[in-house]
Amino acid sequence: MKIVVRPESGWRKVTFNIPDEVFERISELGERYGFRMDRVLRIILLGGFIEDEESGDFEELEKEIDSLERELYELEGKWSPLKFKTYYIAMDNQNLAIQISGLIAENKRLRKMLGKEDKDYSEIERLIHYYMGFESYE
Amino acid sequence: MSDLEEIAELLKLKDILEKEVALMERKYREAMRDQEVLKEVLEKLKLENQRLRRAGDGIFRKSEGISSQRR
Repeated sequence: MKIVVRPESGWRKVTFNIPDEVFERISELGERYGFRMDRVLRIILLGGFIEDEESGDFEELEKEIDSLERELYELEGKWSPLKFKTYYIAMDNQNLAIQISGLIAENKRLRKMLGKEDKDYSEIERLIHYYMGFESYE
Repeated sequence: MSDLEEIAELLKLKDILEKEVALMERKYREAMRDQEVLKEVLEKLKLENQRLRRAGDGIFRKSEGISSQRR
């Protein structure tokens, strides 16, 4: 592939060749990271893309960092109260599980006394065991 | 740390936090659903035990009556 570089002003130009496979690879990378081909070639030829703190890209990166930090604060602000609410619901459930456990024991005793068949409480007992053993969501 | 490294670090953190929030939302929904089930079972058991106690009292009184008649 023949590349011609012209200055913004003036008449001099530089022409050089790069192998097609190298050009294709550059094109792929440019597409992947959202750079136009002329921008990619400029970076390759002039370098200093990351180190150049005065370029527009640096400002873009700073903006990106600020925006990411804001998103993180928002997520953190969402996560903490959600965890707090969930913990207290689980504690309420633990309290309910204790009460139900007592009622199941009473129910079994009454049923036995009255000669009635036992009921199957396995489903709810699984939930009771879960909340009886609950300490935290860590 | 370069800007690009900082962005990579922030993106990693964001990913972790997003996953944590999704997990906590799921746990919240589950806990709420469990609470409804537990409250329903609690009410049902209270009523049933009340009914069984009444039935038991009846039997107890009847048997007490029989035994006092015998005396």
